Amino acid sequence: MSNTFGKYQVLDLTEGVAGPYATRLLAGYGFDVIKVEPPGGDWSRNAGPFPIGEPDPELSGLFLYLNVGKRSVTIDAATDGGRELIGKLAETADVILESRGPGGLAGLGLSYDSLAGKRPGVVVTSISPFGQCGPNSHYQGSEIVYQAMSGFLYRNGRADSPPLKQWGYLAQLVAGVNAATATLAALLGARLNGVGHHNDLSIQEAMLQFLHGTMMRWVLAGQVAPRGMNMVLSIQPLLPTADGEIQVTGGKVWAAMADSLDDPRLKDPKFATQDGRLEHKAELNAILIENLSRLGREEAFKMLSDRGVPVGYVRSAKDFYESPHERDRGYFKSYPNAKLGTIEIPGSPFIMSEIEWTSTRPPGLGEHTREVLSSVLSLSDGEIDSLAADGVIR
Amino acid sequence: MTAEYFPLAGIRVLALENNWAGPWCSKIFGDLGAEVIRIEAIQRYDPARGPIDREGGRQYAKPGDPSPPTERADTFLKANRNKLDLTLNLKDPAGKAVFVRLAAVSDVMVDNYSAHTMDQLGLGYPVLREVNPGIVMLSMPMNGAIGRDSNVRGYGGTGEVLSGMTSMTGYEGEGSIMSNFAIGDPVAGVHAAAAILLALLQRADTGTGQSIDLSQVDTMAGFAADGLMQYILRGENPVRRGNSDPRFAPHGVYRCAGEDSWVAIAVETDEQWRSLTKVLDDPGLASDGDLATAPGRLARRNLIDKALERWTGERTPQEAAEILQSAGIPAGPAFKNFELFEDPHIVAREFFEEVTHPIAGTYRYPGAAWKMSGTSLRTRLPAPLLGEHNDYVLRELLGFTDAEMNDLTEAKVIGREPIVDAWPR
Repeated sequence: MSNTFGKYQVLDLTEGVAGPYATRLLAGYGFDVIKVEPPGGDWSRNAGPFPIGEPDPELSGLFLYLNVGKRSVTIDAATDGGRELIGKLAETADVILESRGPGGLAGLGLSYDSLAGKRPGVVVTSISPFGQCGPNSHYQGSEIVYQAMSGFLYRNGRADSPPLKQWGYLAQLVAGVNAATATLAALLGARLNGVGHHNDLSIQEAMLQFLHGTMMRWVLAGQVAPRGMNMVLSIQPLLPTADGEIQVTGGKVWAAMADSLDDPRLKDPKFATQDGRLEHKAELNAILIENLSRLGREEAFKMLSDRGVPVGYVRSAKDFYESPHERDRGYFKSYPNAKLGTIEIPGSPFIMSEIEWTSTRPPGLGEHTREVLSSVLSLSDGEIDSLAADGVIR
Repeated sequence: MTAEYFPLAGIRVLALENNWAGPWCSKIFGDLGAEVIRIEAIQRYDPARGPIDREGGRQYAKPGDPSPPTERADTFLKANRNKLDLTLNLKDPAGKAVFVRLAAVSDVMVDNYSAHTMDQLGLGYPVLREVNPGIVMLSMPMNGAIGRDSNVRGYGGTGEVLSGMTSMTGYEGEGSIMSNFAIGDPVAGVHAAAAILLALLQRADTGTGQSIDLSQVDTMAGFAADGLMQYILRGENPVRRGNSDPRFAPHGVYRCAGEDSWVAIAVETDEQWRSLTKVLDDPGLASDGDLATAPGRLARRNLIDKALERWTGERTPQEAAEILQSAGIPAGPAFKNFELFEDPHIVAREFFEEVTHPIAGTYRYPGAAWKMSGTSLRTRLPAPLLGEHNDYVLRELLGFTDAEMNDLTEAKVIGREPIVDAWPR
């Protein structure tokens, strides 16, 4: 199984989560991704999680996950020489991604128009907290701020408690997958028609796509969408079992659920319609919970799932890691690691019949500086040594 | 001024899709100029259209209007702009035959049915590949099609709970909480679009298509992967930490003046902390050497949070955020839905657009998730009526005659009105 993407040179000037998630999808499927890191390294190298012991920037879980398959070049963009190198790399790139903030390209002495003038069909994707333009485009971003300013945070959590941030980097990751999609669409268009695009990815705008229903509730009904689980469901979404929670969606699957739990009380006609289940919600949930308390969550999940009931259960990271189904899918891949021997890192969420996920491990900081400068820019050893001596590269 | 340029013009997508995840994938193609043909059936239409004879669920355009509710349901309207609609009963051999003929002239087939459905209908990749070696086919069942638990079905939060994401989210010291959004759906849909585009790029070189098996659970697991890495590297499950952060303080959500009003604040650098102490005008905090670095602030975050909330409590979220952002500190109001429409930044970016639908009427709608030079990603077509493009697809694309159209209509292979309710009482 092979891909034809190795010929696409991707200059990755992004840092952190959003841009690197986009380029992860490209590098993962064989694009030649040249990741330019600042001398201190991508900030995700300091984010962890780390193995037990002293934090090591080569062993940050966030960095390792996001940066499989890429080559790392350390360039100091604060120096004239560094910007000159980046400019030269940009001239040979088919795709350029950057997350330096509004006007970031200009700060490097680059512009989409001049790049496209030299290389029609070049694709440039700029990722920023709030977009390349707009009155608040200069605002400082942070994950919790994106969740807040998209309307997501206000609605998340319980009605009787403060708003609750969703775990992790949801906004930045959603921006990343949208950036990958915009980049690939533009590249396909360029491949078919010779014309590229400059993509403007605002992390706030990408996060807004979760909020369409919430926004339309204002437009159509003049209602403020509140915090707390939507309780037009007759069955509460998370139901406790003996050792954890299952998740069900009520409605049409009610009959199958009533059948599999084999409790005659559930066959009561008052529960037979959705209206009836809503009216007697508390009583219904109590009966369900009583039945489920006799089962483990995996047992309950399997019993309902085998009968075609849409059901899930709350899995921990450990549960997911140990899932035989995920092993069947080959979701976790093993990579060599200088310090740990091997390390497992999640691969791709989809399996393609003709293209395999990369087996190239995440890079050490600046590991490929020399290799890239000599092979892509044809610099000599002497020229490279001189750049290093000047602190332009590390 | 140059004409608008659509990168995916000339690509045809067949979308067998329901609810949110599938439609969110194909909408991207429609927005970028592809011809997207949704396929539903009068016996089995998209449940997002709601019940046939009443407004069921929360949101309808023109509530109470006598026009069909299945053409006014917001869950359908928002996810299906820039697409055409064909009805086709895929359980009927005549319907299957039409589908195969369509596949022969299409580039992409995407479905979000449960696992193995297309194979069970006799319309899986091995069949379609025979009539069209270049076709790219993607399915996105909840748990993927490959793997021993592929029969798992789900809606809404199922992907979120199975991915590990739910177990990591909750108030500090409390249990798991599901998000109040079906976050799995758009996450899966956008990943599906990326995967299809990869396959189309490969096809540009090789001439052949491929099949893609996307697991909705795995797309959400990838969004909880920092938590998975914690288990892999440390053998620990992530601890729920509410709005706090293990590396930064202050970091959280702070109550403001006004009803249920909050501002999010994240101080990520020591320089931002120094700015904050000036904003708070608190010499005590400013001169406290222990607080100058993050570990010191983390150790005393409750003290800092109280001081901060005394300050935010006297201001609205917008006032607090503006002052903090002027001082270079990441901060933002926890917007309520109507505030998104009033935010000068979102409005200035022309995020909203007015869309007119022939039955649902004219409303302001949220727009696309990103901006592209040369193309506006605007709504060119409102969400389609059921079977609205039967004539275009069957007569114009496939050359069906009047007699053939009549036969299909009488056999109920095609139609314009739903005959089986997706939401029986």
